[in-house]
Amino acid sequence: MSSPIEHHDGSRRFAVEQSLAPHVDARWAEDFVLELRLLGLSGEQIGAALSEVESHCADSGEPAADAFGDAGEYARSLRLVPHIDVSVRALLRTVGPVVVEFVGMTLLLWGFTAWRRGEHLEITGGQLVGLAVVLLAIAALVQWSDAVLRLAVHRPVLLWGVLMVGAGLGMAPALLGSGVLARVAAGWGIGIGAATIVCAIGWAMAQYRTSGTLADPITSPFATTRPFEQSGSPTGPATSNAHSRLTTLAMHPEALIPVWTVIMLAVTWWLTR
Amino acid sequence: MVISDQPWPSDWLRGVLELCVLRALVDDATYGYAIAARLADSGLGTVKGGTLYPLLIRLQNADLITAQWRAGDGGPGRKYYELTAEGRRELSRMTAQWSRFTELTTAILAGSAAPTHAIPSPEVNP
Repeated sequence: MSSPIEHHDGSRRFAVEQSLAPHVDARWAEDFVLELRLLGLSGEQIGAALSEVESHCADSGEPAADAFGDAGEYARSLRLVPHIDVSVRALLRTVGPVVVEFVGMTLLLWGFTAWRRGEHLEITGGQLVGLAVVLLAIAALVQWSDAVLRLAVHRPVLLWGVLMVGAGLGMAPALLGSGVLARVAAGWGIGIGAATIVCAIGWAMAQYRTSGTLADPITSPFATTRPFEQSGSPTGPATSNAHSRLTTLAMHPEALIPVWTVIMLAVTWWLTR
Repeated sequence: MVISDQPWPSDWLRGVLELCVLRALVDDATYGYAIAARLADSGLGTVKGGTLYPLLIRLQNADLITAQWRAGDGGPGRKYYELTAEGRRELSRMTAQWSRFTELTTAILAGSAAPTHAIPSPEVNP
């Protein structure tokens, strides 16, 4: 049997890979895990597949690249069927709170800007078209999430460009449209916007309570081994600290949009002094 | 290239590997590397992990084998594969079929095979 590979990286980047598969080259293992994630497999399935590679490499003493070839190709060749729900309905359920929060944020910011200027909130056709375009873009991102994820991993600059062009297309109608459809006191925009965000947060929290957690840690097939989060820290009660909770929070856009709203409100306040 | 360092053409091995893997599980449940080692020791050549494990998953999906993780005793944990009753029946059926096939091809190559069906011969232009 071969000895574990010694890594001198010093970082926590490969913590999951090194813990579950010490005899497998960490970069190969990382590519393997990433491809399986992109294929929509659960943490349990990924942990089992990686553990079998580990078992083979430990017994044979072969490097994973020699025994299994390219990590991505090998991951695809397994043809594993995802255990997790990747249906469009499930994705929409996941993205629902984000969409509602986004609508609330938009209303709140429009109302807040009008209030700072001492004006009424005027909603134009262009603004509504712009909002619709953004919501359609979110729906498209959900529908083609696999392609988006691949792009984010392999061509991040291209994805950034596509998103920027999309954002520009979303903004254009708002700038061009001038016909006022509704004119209400600015306070209504602020109130309804804030209430919408609060409702969406409640929705998201209810979903978390129902499903337990959205995080899907990579787990060893052996019950005695503690599961590992994607970030690399063992998820036992002893290490479930405030930092890991913050990390988990930051991974969810439902938590980020309210924070982003506060930042935008502060910027708007500063710009409309 | 997933099957290497062996005297047999990879096309032949691809055809018979499933049968050989099932045969390697007849006596007892065992794990992937041990299956590869048994096949190599019997002269089949090196079967790479990249070939073996996808095949084991296919056999599992076809209910011909089952798998169970066992913790290692001082070593790595291993996934043990075991033949199902259906797997044994399939192995028996395929082994008989393979024997007939090899007998036939051997006879063809020796030039002694008798045609069993009236196969129309291609027209030969003078």
